[in-house]
Amino acid sequence: MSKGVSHPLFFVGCMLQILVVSCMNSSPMPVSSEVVLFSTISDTPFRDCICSVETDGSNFQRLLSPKQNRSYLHASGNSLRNVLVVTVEELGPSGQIEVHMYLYHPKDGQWRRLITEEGMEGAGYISPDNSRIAYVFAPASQPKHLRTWIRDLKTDSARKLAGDDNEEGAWDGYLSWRPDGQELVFLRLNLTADGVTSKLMMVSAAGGHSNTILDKPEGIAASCYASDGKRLAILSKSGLEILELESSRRKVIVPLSVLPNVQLVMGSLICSRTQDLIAFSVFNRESKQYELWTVSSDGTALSHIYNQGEKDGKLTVSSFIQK
Amino acid sequence: MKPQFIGRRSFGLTLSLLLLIALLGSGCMAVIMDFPFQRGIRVKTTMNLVDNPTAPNVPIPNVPNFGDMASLRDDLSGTRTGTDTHVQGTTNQFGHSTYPNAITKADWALHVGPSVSPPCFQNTFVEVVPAAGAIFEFFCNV
Repeated sequence: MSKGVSHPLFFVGCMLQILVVSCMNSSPMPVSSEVVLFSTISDTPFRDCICSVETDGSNFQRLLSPKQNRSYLHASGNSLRNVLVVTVEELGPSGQIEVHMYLYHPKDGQWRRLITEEGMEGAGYISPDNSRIAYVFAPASQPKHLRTWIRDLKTDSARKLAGDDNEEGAWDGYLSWRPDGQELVFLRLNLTADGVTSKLMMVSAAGGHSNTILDKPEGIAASCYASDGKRLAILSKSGLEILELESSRRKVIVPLSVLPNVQLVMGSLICSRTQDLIAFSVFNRESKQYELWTVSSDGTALSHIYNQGEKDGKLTVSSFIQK
Repeated sequence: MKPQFIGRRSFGLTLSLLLLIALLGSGCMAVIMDFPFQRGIRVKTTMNLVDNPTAPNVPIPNVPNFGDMASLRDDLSGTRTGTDTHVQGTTNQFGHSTYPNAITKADWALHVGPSVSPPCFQNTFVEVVPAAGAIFEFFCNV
């Protein structure tokens, strides 16, 4: 045996090589150029964060980790190389907690407040061409009117979409852009004597009258446009359905019987704009885990890709996003 | 000149350092983060979706809530945080009110509601807040 082989540095070199090779093997090659972006709302304050996983569930990453006086409730985007709109819970100058939407550039770490008007800020959703943000907002003068607004990032002008109602107590949420950026769907929620009702609504991105697509008895918990823009994926009391907008034909592609013991998570449904892929999360009451699933729009390739414990926080998917 | 072999202690140190560099560089380290700033109280208001029993936790915004510390609990473990003995707010779009400076390791009387729109009656609960803080989820009664 040569002297070099018995030298301690040779041993160190071998160890390093083994380690690096084993690590490379433990991280499979990415299966898609997109990752699933999701928020984790924790059981304790200031532990909410924005995370991502590959579409096969590998390579979990915490993109925005909470800080001492700041945590992250929701994020939406098209690419990690472009701007994201992030809803942040933070300690304000008065010592009170405030919720604000920010534009965040992951490349250079820059943050900028999206809106400066006083009011209640909710979740923001970036348009497919990155030029506009649709968001939920109630101005301070009308605190009960949480409605869908739109802001043009070029002109920095904002206006209320679907402002054609005076439903006191109703509020909007869980928006989704049509892939061509011309239309949005959202849920209009209302608290009644029996509980919360939800209507699936559609509105032009140019504004105007909003139309009801599915009314209260359908129990819609989330929706998103499929990549062709002609169909909607919806989470309803029947499970995951596909609704063809032109014919109003509906097809259950994942019945709830396939996912026993689960609870739906409000708004936790996203559709890829570049591939035939849908992602949604549910809470499994038996295992006490939040589960992240993907499926094709024809119901094939149903796959449970990721899960996290209840104590780690509520998992809500928000975007398919380019890496 | 005789070759100098690394001493046993230096060797161990070098090996540890190289392993650490390799781990960080290869990206296979399981990052287990425990956030050191657990504190405060978060009040959460939710309610069932009427026509869909599988969607039970719809966050309810605009629900007023307030709380008063009832008594300190020195029998609980951990280090107490916060100085506020009274908290007050309205739930946001996510159905949350967060009070990071509420005193922990204490009993709190929390009141949720009433609100006319959305209509929630007032409810009062006495809860134990451990040192690390807590979240309390209230189902809105109408």
